[in-house]
Amino acid sequence: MILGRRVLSRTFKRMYIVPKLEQLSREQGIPGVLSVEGLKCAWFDRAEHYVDRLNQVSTDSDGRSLEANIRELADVSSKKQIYSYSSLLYNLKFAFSVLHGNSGTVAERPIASSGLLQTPKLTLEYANEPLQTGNERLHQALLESFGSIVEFRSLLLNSNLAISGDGYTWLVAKKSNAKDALMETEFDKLFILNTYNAGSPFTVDRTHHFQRAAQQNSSELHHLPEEATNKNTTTTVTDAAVYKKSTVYIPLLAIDASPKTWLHDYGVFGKQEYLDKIWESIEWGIVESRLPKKSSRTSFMF
Amino acid sequence: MAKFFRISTLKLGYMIKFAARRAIHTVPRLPGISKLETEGIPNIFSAGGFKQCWLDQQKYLCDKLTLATAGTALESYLPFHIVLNTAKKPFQTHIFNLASAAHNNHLFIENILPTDGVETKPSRLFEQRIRAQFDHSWEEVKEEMVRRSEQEVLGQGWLFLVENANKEVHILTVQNNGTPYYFPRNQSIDFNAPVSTEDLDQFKEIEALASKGDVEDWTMPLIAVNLWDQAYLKDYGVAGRSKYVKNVLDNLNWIAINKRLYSGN
Repeated sequence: MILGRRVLSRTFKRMYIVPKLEQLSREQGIPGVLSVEGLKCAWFDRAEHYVDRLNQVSTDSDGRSLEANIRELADVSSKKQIYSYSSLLYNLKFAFSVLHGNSGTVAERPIASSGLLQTPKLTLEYANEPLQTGNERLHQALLESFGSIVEFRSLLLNSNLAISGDGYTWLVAKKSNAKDALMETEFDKLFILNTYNAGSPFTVDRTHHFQRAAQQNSSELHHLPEEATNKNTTTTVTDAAVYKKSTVYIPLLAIDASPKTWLHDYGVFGKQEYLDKIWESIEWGIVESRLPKKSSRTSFMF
Repeated sequence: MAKFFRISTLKLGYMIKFAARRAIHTVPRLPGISKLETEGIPNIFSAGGFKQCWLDQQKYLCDKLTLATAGTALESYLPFHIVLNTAKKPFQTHIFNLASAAHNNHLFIENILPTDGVETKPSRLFEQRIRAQFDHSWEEVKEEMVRRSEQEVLGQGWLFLVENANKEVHILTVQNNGTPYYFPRNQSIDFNAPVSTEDLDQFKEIEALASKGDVEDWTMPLIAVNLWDQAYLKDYGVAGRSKYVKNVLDNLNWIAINKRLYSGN
């Protein structure tokens, strides 16, 4: 009987299943970052919720990966929900994959309002820097792209602090334009990137999407003043360079900005404290393993 | 919003008075606050949920707003005026976000304040207007509001029922801390997911109208619902937002809402 039901469901529908991360347990939380209850809200409940929604909105997953959904459906407004929940699930898993805890303890009570008035410390060295954990290749790449670890850390954490709603801050490697498709993947520079809500580092070339949609509709927009329609189809120099269709970013690290992750343990005043704890809990070995080879060619970029 | 003015008056010459005022934004004191602190809001928030949504979050917004505006031309404005003043200035978005959130949250808490056992209900006028606009009963419009919040606000945001200058009633969803008072800053469309051509058209139309200069928007919110995690996460959990929105809409303070509706006098 049980066997029969299993076979049935398999023939009818291939479902997305809730992802598992080995280092995260329901009994432990993430030492020094999230309590048992905090991790339940930040990871277990959320992963389950996103998968539930994804299965509700996708009629048949066809065994498609989340990444395929994100890349292929980013422009398909009729499949917005499938795109959104695929992207949210991918981002969440990516962010939690590098969190391995630290030797500290989770704050027993939420941070008080006086936390807002604290003067930033002028520390130049922090616990858990990539060099301390023996990740010299990553350390060098960070120095070349950001100047120093302190500058990198400030940019990374402050970018996340500046997200007012939901989103992720990413460390990404910009793939160098290989002339030969068979060449090994190489990168030329590292960047910090913010995505909001269900935004994805795989679909940063959004301007193309808007332009294409605008062009499709240009005939219907005749009632608008000329300059208004023209303005929107002109790309700035920066846009052209940063959002080149051919630009590919390889994600190395993601930090979640959503209150769903920090609200339970740190309280409404505690986002800064949460970010400090996150830094100490990043497993740089995993970040480094995602870093491709450095391109030896020098090319123009900024 | 309640504000605290520190006024120092200097008398210069005969009749000229010079007043320098500095404003500190503080959490408005609600009627029956001690009971709310111990019991929360029946059918909506536990005591802990109320603390997080109002006492803590509102203090966070007020403190941040004070820090962001102290020493600037905005320092003696009320949050509502700061919203209107900064809505058109992208470079002051950080201030707009705080002021708009503080104002929206006050609207929200006002329309869910318990009425101490007195049963309140939509006025006849309200029900007429709902029927005229949607051709459905208020019960059905509530379901539609829950559905719209679920479909349209993926991250943080607000759900409103608003009345515009033509006295039409509309459901409005906003992303993050958009405002119902100025339509170019409604922030109804989430550009991080695929955008439909209808949404894009609407956006372009808004942009074209806003670029022409003086926008007149006399939209007023009737009902506000906080969709931020700070409001529902503690009591309802990650998957419970729609249940929470339903609870809010089923337990509104109609004394406050009926008064917000335009009645012609």
